[in-house]
Amino acid sequence: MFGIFIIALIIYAVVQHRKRSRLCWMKRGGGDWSKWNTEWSKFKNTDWSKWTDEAQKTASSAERFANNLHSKIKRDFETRMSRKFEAKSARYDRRMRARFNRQTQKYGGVSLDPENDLPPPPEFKNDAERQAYERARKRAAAEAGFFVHLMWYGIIIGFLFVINLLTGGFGSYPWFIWPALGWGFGIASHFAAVYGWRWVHQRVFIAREVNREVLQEKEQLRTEKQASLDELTATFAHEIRNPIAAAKSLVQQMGEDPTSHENVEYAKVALDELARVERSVSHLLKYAKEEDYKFENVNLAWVLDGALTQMRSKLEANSVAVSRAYLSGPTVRADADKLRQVFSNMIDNAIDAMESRKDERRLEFAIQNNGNGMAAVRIRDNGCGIADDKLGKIFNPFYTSKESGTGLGLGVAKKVIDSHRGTIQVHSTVGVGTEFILEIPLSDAVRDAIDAVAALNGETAESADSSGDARATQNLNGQVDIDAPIVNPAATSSETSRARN
Amino acid sequence: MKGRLLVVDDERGIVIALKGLFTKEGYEVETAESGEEALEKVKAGLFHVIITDLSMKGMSGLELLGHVREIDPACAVKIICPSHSTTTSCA
Repeated sequence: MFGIFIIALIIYAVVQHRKRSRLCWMKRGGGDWSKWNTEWSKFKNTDWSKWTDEAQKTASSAERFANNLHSKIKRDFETRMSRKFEAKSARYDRRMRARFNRQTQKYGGVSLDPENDLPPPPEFKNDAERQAYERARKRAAAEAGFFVHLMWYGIIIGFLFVINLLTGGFGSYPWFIWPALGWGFGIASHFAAVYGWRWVHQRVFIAREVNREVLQEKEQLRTEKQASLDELTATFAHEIRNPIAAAKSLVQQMGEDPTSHENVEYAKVALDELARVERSVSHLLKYAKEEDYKFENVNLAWVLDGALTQMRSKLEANSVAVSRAYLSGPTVRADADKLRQVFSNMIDNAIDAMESRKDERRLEFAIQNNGNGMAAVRIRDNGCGIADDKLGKIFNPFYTSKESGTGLGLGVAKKVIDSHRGTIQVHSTVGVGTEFILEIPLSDAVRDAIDAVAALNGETAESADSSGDARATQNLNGQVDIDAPIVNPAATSSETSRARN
Repeated sequence: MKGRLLVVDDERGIVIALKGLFTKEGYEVETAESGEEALEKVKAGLFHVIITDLSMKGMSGLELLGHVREIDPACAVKIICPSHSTTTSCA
């Protein structure tokens, strides 16, 4: 009904326009085509390149803006947030598609998505009938699309004609500029109607929602950080005040009785205590320093091999047998130097843990893919193990079980891995051994390839945690997989520390 | 001899400093660097005062207190805990 009205409006407008144009031209001298020629040459000779340049500039700046925004979102939003974002977008897409289908049903009685059609597809007697139905359906769909488009076309061109009539014309352009403009606006508004709301929804509403959640996360993180800082301060005060108090008292006693034969021992002890303070402070500085990370795409196996080379002399001195269950590692997004430090630290700890063992000291390394966009490095020793009640504390700064340790090694390791947005897990059984599992995010290219393989396997990216994905990626990266842990999972306790930011 | 003291702390510097201080005051001072060692010395001989740190590796100061009470409940042992900011007398 509305469409008919619009078409009538267009016809009326065209007739009126033609009449007025004729009258106008006739008044000026009856079919004087020289005016048409001058107008046409004016149109023809206009330098449109300025306009196209402008358009290109706008397009490229918009593209740059979009690229910047994209990279910013990629950088700032953590994986969990972007997953949430994607899920919401997907839900919105589904809703929009359903709406589109409902609308096309309203206009044409058909839908582009047969799954969402309200009436079930009819039963066909033979293929010919089915083909005929398909043809009819496609034609009906095309017609529906055409009429929807025609509606917009009619609205826009009608609007333009009305403006033209009311103002006495925008100028004296040739007659087809109006249908041309109308057609362009019609197409533009058609696409705007289909995609515009989706764009607004994604860029504004969802972005706002995600932003709010990010802020909440940050706030929570800040409180947690404050709590851990308080704890750290308390521990550190104890760590520093005690040796200083001892040294102070000793020096005081030396001053009170300068000739005492005990002064030599006092001086030695005081020096030891001061050295302890110095070491604590320097380690704390190392721990607290906000270092710049240079993230690159690095091969995980190379980094691990580098750490092994670095620790070779100590490994050989302690006669530790090293087995490497990987050929080549996947490419990860990491700071190679920092990661190597972490691995060296882990190896160092493992060697210390195996000190109590007289022979058959074994250190095993494996790299595998967990299928969640992370590469996992497993470092497994057969040392003394960690008791259950201590397992939760080993990543705390200043927690140590060694005589000469400052308790910051694993704290630094956790900090570095957190900065990589990875995780550290530890499984341990006293007397059997300890296994550290470090998860580090894969580089984007590898992750994309994994997604592609998952898509080929008929899985969506969201459900990629299943085993099929892991299978696919193992072949992709050519790595060796060791699934069975040497420590019995039922008899072990585990402590998982998840990266947050 | 004014009295017998036992100084317990897992930090050697503190133990030695306290020992020096109390020896100068005229007390007889024994030292121990862990709760277990302290317990052996308590079993071996009587002390008037035990000065112990609360947080130590192995046996903590409070555990030590409990064990000392078990060994000789009648004995009036004073335990001073210097590990916190305000010195607490806990017995």
